[in-house]
Amino acid sequence: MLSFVLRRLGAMALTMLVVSAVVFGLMELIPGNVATMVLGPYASDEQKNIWLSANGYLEPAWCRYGVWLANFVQGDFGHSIRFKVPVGDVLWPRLGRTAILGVSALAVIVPLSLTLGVLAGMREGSIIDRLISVIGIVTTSIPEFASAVFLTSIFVFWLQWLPGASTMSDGFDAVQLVLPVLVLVLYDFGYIARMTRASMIDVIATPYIRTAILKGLPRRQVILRHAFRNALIAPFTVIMLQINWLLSGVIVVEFFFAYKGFGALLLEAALNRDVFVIEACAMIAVFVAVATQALADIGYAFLNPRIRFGSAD
Amino acid sequence: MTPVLDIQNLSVSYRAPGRVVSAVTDFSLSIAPGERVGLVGESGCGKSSIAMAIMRYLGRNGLVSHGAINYQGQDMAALASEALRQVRGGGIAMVYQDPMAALNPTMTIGAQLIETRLAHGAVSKIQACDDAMAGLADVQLSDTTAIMARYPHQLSGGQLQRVVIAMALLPRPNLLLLDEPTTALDATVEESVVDLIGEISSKYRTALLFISHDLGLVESVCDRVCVMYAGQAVEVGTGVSVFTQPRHPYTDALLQCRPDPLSTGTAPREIPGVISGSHEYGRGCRFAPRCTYFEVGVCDTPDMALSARTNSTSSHMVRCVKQNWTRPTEEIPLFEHIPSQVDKSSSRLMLQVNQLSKTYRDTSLVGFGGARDVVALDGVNLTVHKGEIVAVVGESGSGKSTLAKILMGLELTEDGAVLFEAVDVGALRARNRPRSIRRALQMVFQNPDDTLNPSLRVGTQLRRAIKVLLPDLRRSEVAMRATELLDSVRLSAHVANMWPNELSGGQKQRVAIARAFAGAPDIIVADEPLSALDVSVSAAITLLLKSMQRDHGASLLLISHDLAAVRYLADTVVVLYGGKVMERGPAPAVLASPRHPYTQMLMGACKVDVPKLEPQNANVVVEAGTGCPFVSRCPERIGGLCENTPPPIICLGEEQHEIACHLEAVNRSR
Amino acid sequence: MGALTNIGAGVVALWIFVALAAPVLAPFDPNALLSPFATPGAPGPDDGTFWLGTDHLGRDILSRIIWGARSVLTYAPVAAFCAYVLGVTMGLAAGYFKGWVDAGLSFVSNAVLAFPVLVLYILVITTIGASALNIVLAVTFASAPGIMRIVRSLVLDLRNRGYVAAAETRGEALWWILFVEILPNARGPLIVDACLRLGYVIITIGVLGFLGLGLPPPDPDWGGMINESRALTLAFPHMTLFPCLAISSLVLGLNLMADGLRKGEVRS
Repeated sequence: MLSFVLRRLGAMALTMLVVSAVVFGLMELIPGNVATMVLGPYASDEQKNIWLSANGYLEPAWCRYGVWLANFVQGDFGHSIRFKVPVGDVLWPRLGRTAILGVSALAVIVPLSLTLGVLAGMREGSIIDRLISVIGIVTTSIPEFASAVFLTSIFVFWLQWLPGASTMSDGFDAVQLVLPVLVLVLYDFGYIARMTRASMIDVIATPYIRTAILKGLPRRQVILRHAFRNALIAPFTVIMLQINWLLSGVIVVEFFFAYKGFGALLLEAALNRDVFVIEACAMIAVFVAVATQALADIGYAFLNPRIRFGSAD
Repeated sequence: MTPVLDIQNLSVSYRAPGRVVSAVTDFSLSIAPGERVGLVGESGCGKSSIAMAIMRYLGRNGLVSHGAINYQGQDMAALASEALRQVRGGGIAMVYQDPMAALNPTMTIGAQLIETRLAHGAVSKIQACDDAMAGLADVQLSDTTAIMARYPHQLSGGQLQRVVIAMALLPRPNLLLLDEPTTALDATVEESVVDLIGEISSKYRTALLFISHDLGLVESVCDRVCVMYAGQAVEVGTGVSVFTQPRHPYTDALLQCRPDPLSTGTAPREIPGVISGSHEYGRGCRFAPRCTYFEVGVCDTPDMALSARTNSTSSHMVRCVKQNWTRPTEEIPLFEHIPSQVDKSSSRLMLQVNQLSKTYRDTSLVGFGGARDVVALDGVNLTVHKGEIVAVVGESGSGKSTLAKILMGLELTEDGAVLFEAVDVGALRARNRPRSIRRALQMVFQNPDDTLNPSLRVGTQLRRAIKVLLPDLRRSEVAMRATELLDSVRLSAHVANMWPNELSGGQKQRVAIARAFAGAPDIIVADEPLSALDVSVSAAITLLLKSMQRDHGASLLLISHDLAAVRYLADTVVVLYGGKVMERGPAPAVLASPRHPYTQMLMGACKVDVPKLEPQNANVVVEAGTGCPFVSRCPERIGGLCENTPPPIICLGEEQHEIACHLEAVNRSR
Repeated sequence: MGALTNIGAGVVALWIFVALAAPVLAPFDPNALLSPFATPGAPGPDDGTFWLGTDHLGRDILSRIIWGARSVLTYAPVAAFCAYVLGVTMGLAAGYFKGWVDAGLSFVSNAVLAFPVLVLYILVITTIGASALNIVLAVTFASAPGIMRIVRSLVLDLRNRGYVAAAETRGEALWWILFVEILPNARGPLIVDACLRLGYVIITIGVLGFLGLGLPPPDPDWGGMINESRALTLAFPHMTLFPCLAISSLVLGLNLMADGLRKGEVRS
């Protein structure tokens, strides 16, 4: 088990290394001169060259990659061209806000989708099951920006219950979090619910559930001890992998509701070609995604005794 | 005395989209306390539906459309949910076909046993735990404390089935339903599990309903037998009466499908035709379309009932109006067993396998635990002469499938050579072999359900095989040959236009045999061609293999664990264990008087409980060059010698019968 | 459930018809600046009506949605098809050859799949710029690894079938084994996946447009329309609502079709 964890963490580090090279490489390919962006269109070539050599841009790419990576690992993400401050100063507060948004969304998604999935899976083909399935398909068909528009039209334009923007300009305000969280929940819960349902149906059809029923266990015990434990192993992985998708959704939602989070930062940086910010944001997004994946694998192995107590086949 | 179980006129059917499929019709059976009843039939005969109907567990689309099931006088259908729960497990317990699937993979054996005990009767947890340990000891598992803490995947199939039996017995049920309890187990393990079931039933006076397709097994366990065909009981009576004097033509035919492996090569007889689907049942006897004694106006009258066998004192019932048929005395079997009489000194040597070795190395990057190498083959020698049928016999894990793969160029040798027409084909993948060799060496696969490409019509696949192997043929000749091949495996020409999923298992295997003979091969390798088939179908395929082999003058390398088929088909038998040859020789000599302890065990001559061959055991013991791979299971091992020294190969007599065993050497030196 | 599948197929067919017949159906030139801020149903020039209103520049929203259908139903299928060609090729190679080929391809695709999708799109589009071709390229690059994973696992299973071994032993060429013996038998799950994926590509193109990284203006693009009028949602909801309904209904149609196909797949 320990060697498995170590190996999984090693694979994660390797993936991060490749990803860092890909991110750095892509940023190298951006057309246009960094110096022009920093010094403005009217700077002379001479000025630009002085700036470039002063900031190490005339070194070969792999050299700068090494320096960048070494600094990055130590927490020095470089300087933002747009904000003219170290990237960390902009990034960390933004990340905190996004964490609040993400965790709130997950806190709703996970219990909601597991409950619905288990309910649907326990009675395959029933009215409840069909209803939940159809709702799931409909909500996952509506892109986040569209549901944001729909919800804004309803709750802000017609009912006037909620604020239409989530800038939090006067400090943290939970009410402003409602719509962004709702949009994320709508788009993401369907998939997890569907996976939970499928897993529940699979487990209920297994011979060991038949054994449990036919050896005379009370129904409650069959469901709680035998079905649940096994049925929740698959959704666990799905939930962890869903964090990867949630990160995408966060970018759209933050942009729509003008929520000053990390996704909006990445987007602004991309539109302004603020290279160091893009790199830092991308690396952190990937790190979160890869780390949750590793956690998913390790957790899966832990939940599954077949892997926990190795077997020859 | 009230019977434990009394089934009256039970009919079971399943709702399928747009129709109702009848699975069981008018089935009655009564089981007295402590009685052992066998329920025999081929797949689809309704025997499992009866088991599930008894447990009131037919699923959403199944229903008892007629009749009643009484457990100790109470109607099962009328039980309220709590009473039903008490009967399930407490009154009637069940043992299943696949023990690995029947146990919850994420709970320890102990937890699963204890909860079973707690569900029936007010006992403390400590008491339940003690009972569970005692139960494990009852089924002859040693080290019960350790097993309690194990998860299912950490035990072997035989051990798991013992656990399942112990679990079923914990609440002391009055009736044990056993649904094919040994089908998923290896032959040597099967023996001991069957014995255990017998002992347990006598010890606790538990009544048994033993469901199986294996007549021999049922005969050895049960007092009374019920034979089923197409959803009906066709013959009921004591085991002796039914098996020695079968009065239903189906029972008789079924018994003849399986000649005794020890008797001298009687040919299995096939039952012509296939079991009809429930929508095809005629008015009279359901076996009529396949019956030799069918008579118009007699056998097709409606309402054929079970009636007492004439001139019988025992309660032997038969569902046949012509039950006094006599088998034609001068009957000529379809194919007599004529040993190929290959004179090895004169006939041409077709294939020579020299010192073949293969180890599977664990190269997975994310393997769990250390890398594990599994020795599949270790210095195997083998020859096949022209027209000879060589059978390779062994349990799962013996390396016999690896041998087939290497011969066919699906795997490469690691060490040693496979010589065919002076070419070492073991070092060539199929793709790299000359076409003449690919044509000459063809294969029949195990699983009829995946042997044909489901996306291509049968004829397309057959013509493709002919075209690739015999590229000189013209289009019309290819088509003609395809039709001939279908005819030679006794399929009508219109099968060519059918999709594989429209064929039965037996028909698919026939097509696969036709495909293997597409290029007029010299050697056919058949890897367990019978194991996935029903008894009557397997008999037909055995006969077909023999006739095809003889008509085409091909050699056959048969890989099988089915000793009856081996006995009938083979000229030479090679017994493989842990990748090494244990015994080889002429089939009659090896099967009638096996000399190696392992062969003896396979033949059921000795009954010793042994753990299944686990890959890790193979790894520990079969380190190249050290002792005999069979040492850990051998009842007659010589301590200190067998573990460390490879067994010598000893010739017995002049008939090329040899074994690899220390025992023989030591006996001789005395 | 059959009814829902048919509704899905009907919606998709309707949009395909709209896309094909755009020049006939659209009442106005989608890029013509007519009369700004017209509400739905307001009369337009030449006795015409702005059925869905106009946007802040005075362009007819109905006409833009109709022409937008044409652009999304051109680029999304092309992008999905390219992704499939690449993903299926990679999956066949990885699943059939196993060993180092598999290890290499799996590592590359895992690295790509490690990116949250939108982050990857933002990086790629930022680098190579927003254009129709680049969006197709980005979608291909980002989707192929997912397709490869599915194909790979299907092939790993199918390659152990008897009929594949039979083809190998009679010496069939590699292409025959891959494209006749293996791929056709993987078609069921792949068709379902293709349906879902096409829906997802449509969402992706919409999201990119919405974030301002999509097809360059002024040609109509559903995501772009929402982006341009986003700030005006509270005052003029019709500008954003209708394009949102358009994209949602198209994706819903595809997902309902996929669901129906999946159920048929399970049954057979």
